[in-house]
Amino acid sequence: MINLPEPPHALLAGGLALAMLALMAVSVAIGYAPFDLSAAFADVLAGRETLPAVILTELRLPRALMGAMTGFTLGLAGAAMQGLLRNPLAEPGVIGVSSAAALGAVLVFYSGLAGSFGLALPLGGIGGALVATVLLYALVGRGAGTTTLVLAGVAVSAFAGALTALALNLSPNPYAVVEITFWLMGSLTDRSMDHVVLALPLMAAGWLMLLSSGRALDGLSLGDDTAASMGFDLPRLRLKLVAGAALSVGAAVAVTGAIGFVGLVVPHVLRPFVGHRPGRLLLVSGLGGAVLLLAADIGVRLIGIQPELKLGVVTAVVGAPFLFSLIYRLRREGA
Amino acid sequence: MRIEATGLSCRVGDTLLLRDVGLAFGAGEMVGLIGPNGAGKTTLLRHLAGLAVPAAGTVTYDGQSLRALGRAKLARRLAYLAQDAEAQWPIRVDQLVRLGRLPHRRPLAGESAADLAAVARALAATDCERLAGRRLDTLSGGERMRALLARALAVEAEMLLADEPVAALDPYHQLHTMELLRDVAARGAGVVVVLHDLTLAARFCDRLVLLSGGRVMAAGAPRAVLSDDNLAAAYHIRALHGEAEGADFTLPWQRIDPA
Repeated sequence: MINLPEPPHALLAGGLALAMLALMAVSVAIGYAPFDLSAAFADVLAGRETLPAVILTELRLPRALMGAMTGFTLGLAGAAMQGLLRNPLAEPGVIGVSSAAALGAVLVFYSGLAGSFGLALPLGGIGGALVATVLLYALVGRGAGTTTLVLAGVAVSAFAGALTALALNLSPNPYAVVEITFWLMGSLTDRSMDHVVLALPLMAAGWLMLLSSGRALDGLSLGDDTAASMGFDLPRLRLKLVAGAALSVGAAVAVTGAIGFVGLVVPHVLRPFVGHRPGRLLLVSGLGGAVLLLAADIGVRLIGIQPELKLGVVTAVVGAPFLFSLIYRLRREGA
Repeated sequence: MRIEATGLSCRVGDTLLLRDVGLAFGAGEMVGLIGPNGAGKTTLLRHLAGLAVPAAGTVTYDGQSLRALGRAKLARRLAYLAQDAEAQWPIRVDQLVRLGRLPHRRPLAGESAADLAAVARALAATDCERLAGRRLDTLSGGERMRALLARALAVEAEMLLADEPVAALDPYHQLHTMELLRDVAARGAGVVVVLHDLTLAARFCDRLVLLSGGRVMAAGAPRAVLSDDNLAAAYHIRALHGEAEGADFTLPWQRIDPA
């Protein structure tokens, strides 16, 4: 692998945070309808409920916030899972929580509850994620090792995927199938401030659990025995990381649908810049995820293809070739 | 610190890996754990480090159990170098060695001057100063082993448990590492080291513990433990014994067909 110069951590994190804020501003500024941003801000500040004000607070702002929050979650959880499993191919959904959140949302669609009130869908997703987490704990118990955790994640994921397919299979009307399928592709369109308010506490709790595990992840890079001999309680660490990923990723998927590759690719790209230290990677990868997702979401609006490309589709279309290049590089290194 | 194992047994499935092991390791001495493959050396070392829960028996640290002492506290007092120690990510050598100071650091606190000084000492002691800026994936197996040993030394613990730290090293660095471990013991820490090389074990250790089939077959002064009978029974080998420059040496010489 190329030996990249390593910028100071604070500079890197600060730069990415600034980029994130800048992209959030751009995200607020662009859209399909002609829109006077300064007038909208003036109206909001003056408390006037004009159309521009509503567009700003109910459409543009939540979309930018949700993009940053979801991207941060995916980047952070991806880095944490890669650190925990000591595997560069781990991604936020590796413990099955993404599929389960998707299933929860699909069941809400399927049961027709989605139309009954606005937050039914994300609540269903969060419910799915929580059920999956409980199931995961029941499967692996407290003392289980990494392999058991991965296997349990794969099992939960496969089961949730199967039930999702079953729901689609049994769907009484084809429109529901189309709707569900599109939702599953992941998008930030038409998310409201209610979504942000619902997801933020869960995500923030998850972020805290993940971000506070940095040192333990550094220790864990030397193997289970060495990390334990360094004083880290590994069963507790696993519990904390799984709970953190489940809360944050569950909330993200519940609101935005499944957005792939961000959590896989971002930690990878940024790892050399933090000297491959898993603890240092956490915050940086979260910020990088936010930057990537905001950029992709701005991209789908700028391209202007209608109906709008789904965010998850764009990240996968861009992300998969990146994975090719990654494998190619790994092969060249003989790793 | 004094580590004491009493009636220690370990069972995996139907196999007994350790049977009723009773041993004590104190400060300032260097003890070699020897024995043929599968004798239970690594299993014993892991139990001594508090990394495995015994099926029966106890391990105590100055009379306290791991539970009473707490893992975080033990981590500052006992350093463990695993047999297949490996860093998953290609971090830089100096950063690897700095991980050795994690047990001493308070939450959210940065590295103190004492931490950095300990890291510098560990790098110097293991002849790793030149390697400090290199990434682990650019090192040879032996260089990597030395860097990992430096990580364990940086803990500056009262007790160092090392599982085959010289297996991958060239003769120069084997001798260098054994001298280094002797220095650690001379400065007052306890050292328990798993070794396959009987010549090095005899030459550098104060005491040897010979394990065979999960039992302690012999323990004591190297010359007594490496007796012809013990070597024949445990290893099925015959060794040459001699004296050079005022020190005894043992050289494995010939296989003996098990009777």
